[in-house]
Amino acid sequence: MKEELILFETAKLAKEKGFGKNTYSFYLECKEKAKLFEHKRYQNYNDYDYVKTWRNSPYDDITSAPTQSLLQKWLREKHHLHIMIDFITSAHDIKWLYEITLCMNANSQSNNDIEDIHIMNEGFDSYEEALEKGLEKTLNLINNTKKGL
Amino acid sequence: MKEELISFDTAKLAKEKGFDWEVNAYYFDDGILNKISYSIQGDFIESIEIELDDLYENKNKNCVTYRITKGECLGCKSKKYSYTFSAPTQSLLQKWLREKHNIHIMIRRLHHYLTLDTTGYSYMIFNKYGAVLSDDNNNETYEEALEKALQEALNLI
Repeated sequence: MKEELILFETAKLAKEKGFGKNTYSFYLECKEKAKLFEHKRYQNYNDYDYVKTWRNSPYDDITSAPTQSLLQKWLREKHHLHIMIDFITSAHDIKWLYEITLCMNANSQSNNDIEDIHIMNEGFDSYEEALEKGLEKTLNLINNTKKGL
Repeated sequence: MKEELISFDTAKLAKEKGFDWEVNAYYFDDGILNKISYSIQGDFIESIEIELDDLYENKNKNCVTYRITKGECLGCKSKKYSYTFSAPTQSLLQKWLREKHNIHIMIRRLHHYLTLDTTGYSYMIFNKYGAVLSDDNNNETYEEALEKALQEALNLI
């Protein structure tokens, strides 16, 4: 049992939003399919300059594949967006939900021009599914929030 | 920025409670952290492709691991084998507790009600019926809250 890596679609979105932390895993796009690789080197595979050092061409078919929790941490520390995973039990099953909140602190930039964010979505069958959807939703928020997030 | 590995104390507790999932890092019995490495030759992507599983092992098995100590000669009779303790990331151990023991840890951000400034993190530990088994509101960071919650949850097993 391993830690869940983000899906290819989420990885592409994370790259688009500037995720540039080192990972061991990456996706390689080949004939409209994405194959997952794990590399010995712990590197930023979203960085073209690094990819250029060991791959002839092209460079843009490689995308970092962080674990869900690393991306969750990046969103929390870099963009101050906190994803919480909770669950609701009923007599027959458990359903998972994500909750996204904006988390500023005294050292962060002023939040006067940032509206409070509080998004919740429920009904997922697993923790990982809820977190994946929460990550995707949160990445999409980066575009919609103001500079300084 | 890296994923947080559990502390040595938590790793010892996790081993005692039966954590047996494969990991790519471990502690020796004196608390020194080690990574499972894999040597690859070649610079082209075709030649560096490896199986994901090659980098992961269960280091909580009750067997010793050969240890190369800096400055020691190979023939020395000093200690070369040590017991090891798997060092999973916090989130992997959290997942093990969830899947193996139906214990769910939730980390909540605490904030000032007017300014929305983060004031800390709390944790809550639930059983599968949603009953709160333990909680604490006094943590500065997410990682600190999760580490404490993991230790507490392991002690509940």
